[in-house]
Amino acid sequence: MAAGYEVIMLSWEYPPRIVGGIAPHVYNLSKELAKLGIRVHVVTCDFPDTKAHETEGGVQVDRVDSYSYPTPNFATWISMMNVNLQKRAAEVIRASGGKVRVIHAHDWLVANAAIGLKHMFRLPLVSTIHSTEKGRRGGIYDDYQRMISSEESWLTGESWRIICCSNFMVGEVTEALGVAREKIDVVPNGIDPTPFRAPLDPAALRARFARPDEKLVLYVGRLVHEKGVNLLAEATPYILRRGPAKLVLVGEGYLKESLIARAKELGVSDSVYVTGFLDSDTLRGLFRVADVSVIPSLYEPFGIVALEAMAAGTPIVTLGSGGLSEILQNGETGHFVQPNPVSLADGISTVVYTPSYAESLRAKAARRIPLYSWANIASLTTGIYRRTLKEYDAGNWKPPMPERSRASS
Amino acid sequence: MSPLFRPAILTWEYPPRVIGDLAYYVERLARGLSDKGAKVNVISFHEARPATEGVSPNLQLHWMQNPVDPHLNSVTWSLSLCSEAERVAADLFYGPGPGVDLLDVHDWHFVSAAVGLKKSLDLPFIFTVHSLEGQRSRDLSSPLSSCITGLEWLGLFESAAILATSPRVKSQVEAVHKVPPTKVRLIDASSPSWLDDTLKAYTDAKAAGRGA
Repeated sequence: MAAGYEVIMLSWEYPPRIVGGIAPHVYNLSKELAKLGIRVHVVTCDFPDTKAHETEGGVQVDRVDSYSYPTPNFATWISMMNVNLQKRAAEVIRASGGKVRVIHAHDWLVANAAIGLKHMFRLPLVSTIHSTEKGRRGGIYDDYQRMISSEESWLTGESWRIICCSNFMVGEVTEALGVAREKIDVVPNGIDPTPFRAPLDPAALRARFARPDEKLVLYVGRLVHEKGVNLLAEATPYILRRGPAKLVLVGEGYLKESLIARAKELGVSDSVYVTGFLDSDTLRGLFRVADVSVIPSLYEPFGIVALEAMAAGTPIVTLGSGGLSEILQNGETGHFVQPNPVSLADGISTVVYTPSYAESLRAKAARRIPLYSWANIASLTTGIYRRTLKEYDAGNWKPPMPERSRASS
Repeated sequence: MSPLFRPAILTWEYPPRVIGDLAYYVERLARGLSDKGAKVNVISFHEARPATEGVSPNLQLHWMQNPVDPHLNSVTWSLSLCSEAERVAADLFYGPGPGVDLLDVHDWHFVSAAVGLKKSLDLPFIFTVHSLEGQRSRDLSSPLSSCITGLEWLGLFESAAILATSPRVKSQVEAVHKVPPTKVRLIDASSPSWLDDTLKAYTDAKAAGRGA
């Protein structure tokens, strides 16, 4: 069931090169698009011990020399990397013989390459904006950020359609980048629940992190201000007033040392375990054995951690910030609290000491997981491709006579 | 000469924006080639000029503005402007005018655009080298100079032919970047045959096949 067209994805990260959320997103989306009959070409950065070209799950992957020489800073490296990315992508598009009909860019990191390709091949450009510089940093404070934000504006301005993962992100893109709402589609992030059902010895895993009499309170995410992890540390004494608990904080970040120090100051060091990064199997298992998953984020474009908890069957306590309020419904699929330590502690206690409520949250959340299947995400994305191509085909902006200018002089 | 030379000249400076001698060199070249019947398009940068200016029936100037502002350094400035140069050149290629059949890129700033256009539209390009980073930079080992040297190398490698505007540049190109001498021509702007020599290089590059 071939769709009749091919798509080229430009992404600076793709497994096994995983820097953040873009890599798993592009990987899962591309695989599902391939299942729908769309041939997908991914052009991305190289990674040790990977092939420059390979086909996996129906997806053609090209990894380019991402420029390994010294550069003054990250943004300059991105510019240099885009030179090689564009060069290879142009070869891929030409080799497709006109079958590649959509260029799909992921974030400003590939803007230079994507915009040039759009014009040189006169193909429509679709961009997914995973986050904005303003949102990531809580504002724009210097020229480095201004440049990145300007790149984001340029990319969104050049895009035929823009995809955001939540209505919260739609607001951010319209406000921070000045994009018209009509140009944006919402497609949530996805989750594959299958690995959360793998065989597990729950008692053995749980014993690695908490005593049998302790409630296991799980936090998964970067240890940074925007994730609200400070709030959880401050809530710990209040949580312990209700009974023994172990707060397991999984992740790394610049707050790690100060969190450990604060736990000591509060006299709760024995109840706080900062694990650093954990392997995927252990992490998924932890979700399954935890009594509650706490998501105290102050800023969250989407909130993939909520999908992970839902897939694992962990009841969720959250502030409901950003995209989280779209994934979760207060009192139905998650328990919402106010952004202060007492409210957070109360919410955690309510869930862990009211088993029937926790079970209700868990069951209702599990029923919503199919909405976030990658098959559904891919189906929504193909709808955007079809709309884009319909508008493109109806218009005049395309190579009028592709061979005209090549006629021999 | 054949009237069907349709070069697009890519340069980061062109009068009235004059940084160094390059602007005047390219202006003389563009006017001289157009006087000989070539349909010349110059693609350059200016913050305030109109997008297109017709100098004569055979010479059009296309002024770009940088789509990204501010910038961190000359490399990020050039490389976002390269995408804009690709847009302008592609619009000329597809548009109703005489089109483009060859690119002449002056120094490193728009090399990436030339490579993109070669790979996408099968346009051959000439890389005219006025100076190299190795001659200009006080600290060639700096990360920024390293990037510029990398872009120069890309232009030397991907171009159909290299025109060196002085014996010193020619020897540097051959010695530093190990380019085969057969790919590098000395082009002397003070010679009476300068324009004809340039056109000969254009002819050879086209004959060698696009994307050569």
